[in-house]
Amino acid sequence: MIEFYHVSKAYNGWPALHDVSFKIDKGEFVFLTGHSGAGKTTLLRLIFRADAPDEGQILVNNRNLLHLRESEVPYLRRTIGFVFQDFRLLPKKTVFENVALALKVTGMPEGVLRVKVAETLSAVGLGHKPDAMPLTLSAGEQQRVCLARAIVSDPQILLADEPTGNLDADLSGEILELMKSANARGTTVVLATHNRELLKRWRRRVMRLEQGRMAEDRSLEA
Amino acid sequence: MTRLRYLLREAVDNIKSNRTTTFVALATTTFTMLGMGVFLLLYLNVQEALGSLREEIKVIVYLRDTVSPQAVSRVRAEIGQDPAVAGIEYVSREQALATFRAQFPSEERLLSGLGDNPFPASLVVKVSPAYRSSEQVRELVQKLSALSETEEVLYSQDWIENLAVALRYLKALGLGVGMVLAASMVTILANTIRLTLHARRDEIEIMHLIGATTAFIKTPFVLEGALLGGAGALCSLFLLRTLFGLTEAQLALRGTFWGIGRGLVFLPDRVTVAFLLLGIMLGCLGSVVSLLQQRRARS
Ligand SMILES: Nc1ncnc2c1ncn2[C@@H]1O[C@H](COP(=O)(O)OP(=O)(O)O)[C@@H](O)[C@H]1O
Ligand SMILES: [Mg+2]
Repeated sequence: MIEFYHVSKAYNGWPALHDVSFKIDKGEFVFLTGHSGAGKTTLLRLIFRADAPDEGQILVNNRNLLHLRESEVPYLRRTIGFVFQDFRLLPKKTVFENVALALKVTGMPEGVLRVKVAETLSAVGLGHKPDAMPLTLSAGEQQRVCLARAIVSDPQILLADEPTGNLDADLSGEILELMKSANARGTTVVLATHNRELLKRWRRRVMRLEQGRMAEDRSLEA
Repeated sequence: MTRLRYLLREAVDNIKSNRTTTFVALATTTFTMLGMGVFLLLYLNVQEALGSLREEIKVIVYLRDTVSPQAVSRVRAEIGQDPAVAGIEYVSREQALATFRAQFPSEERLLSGLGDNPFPASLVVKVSPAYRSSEQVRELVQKLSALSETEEVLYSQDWIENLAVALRYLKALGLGVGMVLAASMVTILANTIRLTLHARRDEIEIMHLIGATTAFIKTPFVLEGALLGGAGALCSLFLLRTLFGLTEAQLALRGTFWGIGRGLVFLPDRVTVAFLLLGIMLGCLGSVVSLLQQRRARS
């Protein structure tokens, strides 16, 4: 599903990722961990082509991103849900509109769209706040709106960048449960976090980055 | 359909969220298009006037005093054969005198010093519509001058030709001014759209990240330009119509249309529609310019 072959990426000559290789299969749930600045965000951004690597090859869904035309990028991104570390919600649109945007860009008819958005909002526990403005919500709620926007289109891949970064343990647990249920429905999940608690809660494959290198890739069996 | 409605609503949202900028853009667009409209109207009216003047092209053949009535009817018949001639009217010496007296009653004293009747008899020749070019009229005049009964031939062609030349200059000037105005309108709208683009850059980036195509993101901005351009054109048409009405009333009050034709004409429907479309097109162009600039800046 996601394959990295000797991928390197530098910002202004400073390596953020160095010679990283791994393979994630369809339906897997992977924790991506490492200290702040280890390269987690960089790695996730490469997967949905928000950035391009300096070296190496990346395959997503058996498509080499190197050979992806600019006009095909939107279609790649529609198969990937992304939960941003900084939420990235549109402040002037309601919760409902924010989530609906992910479906609108695909040209989904209004009727189906309303149902899907309402379902997803209740799934993340925000069914009662569709008309709220994002900035009036708590951090935990904003994070859940962001998650709802990422999963509303039933993506094949869900990438989450420190989705529990600003949340207390209880809320973190809730978010994790939501991602587990997405995974149970067949979505491949990569969850970047430096929260060790989270790793203990659910034992899954863990990839650890250290200064841009893959320091450890511990699969379930090991 | 849903999509179109969404894109349109986005465009309207853009406009609403930048009221001041939008108002300034709309005002400038309106006055720019008004400028173009005034030129267009001026051109159309001069053209119209020229058309009606051409209809009145007359060639006047003054006959020698010695010509007998029989000779007059022979000349009439002869001239009448010419396909360039649409009609002939004979004005006798007495009629000419009477007309002068009626038109200039105060000049009676002038007449008394000039013997009993200084006016020659004349044939007023109307030119057929198909023979109204300057060369053709000149040819006709030459033919008429060559007749032995002719004393002198007068015609109104010269200053009609001058007016035609003036019209050509007006057209060139109008095109030049129009192009300058159009260019400035595109620039103004491009700037407006650029401000919107800047205000919504975060949003645009997020849309890109969640898989929106470039067309999906850009269409609202193009629509915004089209709406602004169209609205500006519409406002300017209203202003133009008002100005036109005022001018017409003023002229009617003075009882003069400089003796020209049948009064003033407003833009015909076809031109009005074209004018609106022009506004919309220039608006779209403004958006496209700013979107292209932005893309160049990003890459
Ligand atoms: N856009 C950028 N420009 C410059 N440096 C960057 C940029 N993004 C990340 N970096 C650098 O790359 C390294 C990895 O960053 P990041 O992937 O954000 O780490 P993490 O998400 O694990 O905290 C850091 O040293 C960071 O400063
Ligand atoms: Mg990060």
